[in-house]
Amino acid sequence: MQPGIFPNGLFWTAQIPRSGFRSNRRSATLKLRGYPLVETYQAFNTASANPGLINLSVTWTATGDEVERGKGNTVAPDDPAAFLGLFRDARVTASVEGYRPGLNFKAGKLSSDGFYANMGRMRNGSYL
Amino acid sequence: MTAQSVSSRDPRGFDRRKFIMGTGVAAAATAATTVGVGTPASGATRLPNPLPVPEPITGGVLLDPADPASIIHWLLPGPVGATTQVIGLPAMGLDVDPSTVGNFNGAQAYAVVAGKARGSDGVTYDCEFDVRVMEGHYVAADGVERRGAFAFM
Repeated sequence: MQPGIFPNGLFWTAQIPRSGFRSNRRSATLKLRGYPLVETYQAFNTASANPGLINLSVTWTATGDEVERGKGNTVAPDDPAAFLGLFRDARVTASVEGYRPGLNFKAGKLSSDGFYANMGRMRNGSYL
Repeated sequence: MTAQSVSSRDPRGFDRRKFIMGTGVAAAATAATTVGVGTPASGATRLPNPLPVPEPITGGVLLDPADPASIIHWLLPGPVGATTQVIGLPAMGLDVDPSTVGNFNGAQAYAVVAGKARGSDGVTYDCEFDVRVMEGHYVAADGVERRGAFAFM
């Protein structure tokens, strides 16, 4: 389930209310309830799309010191490092519920253990 | 979410088939039967007044290395050598933009979380979710700076 791809290429990214996200230097939370998304059985195949709703609760807890990341405008604009940020590694826990015609699902104990998460502040594009 | 067949493989070791199978909010298998349709709890998030769509980041991943138009404006930060927990996507390094929004300045949070999901069909799925938030100022195509919050999910 995802928000779709906009004509300008913005990928699976939706506007959310600012009240749905809270952050400080050491923690952050994202809470959405009954939020509309689209489920596609085959990614990028809009013919297989079905409307759905999602409840999402995600909590970031910083685990490390702030570290500078990115190379700003010293690299090409399409370089993966074309940003500047100050991040802390984090551990994240989450719960997700999805609802759409035919199937609901509930995932109550998700975590970032085994991969990666971070939080912080950053800038890219015209802000470099 | 089932996979579309994609034959090419990124020389960095990025497997497009794995990407198509499971980014965003996805389960590792599709539903086989309909058990019942529940409804989300009351108190739905109030949808914000719509803002102009942000520009995407300039970089991204080519689903087809031979086709520049196949770019998806998404990158996968994480320690080199790490792979996501269920789908097995390879991390691209830590100097990798976690945002999907371009021309952005603000708070950012990123995680790939994984675990088990229980379907209304009675099946337990392995699942993995890539979730990111970008909250702050951005400049859309009209050149106007605004403040907003966006989530990749």
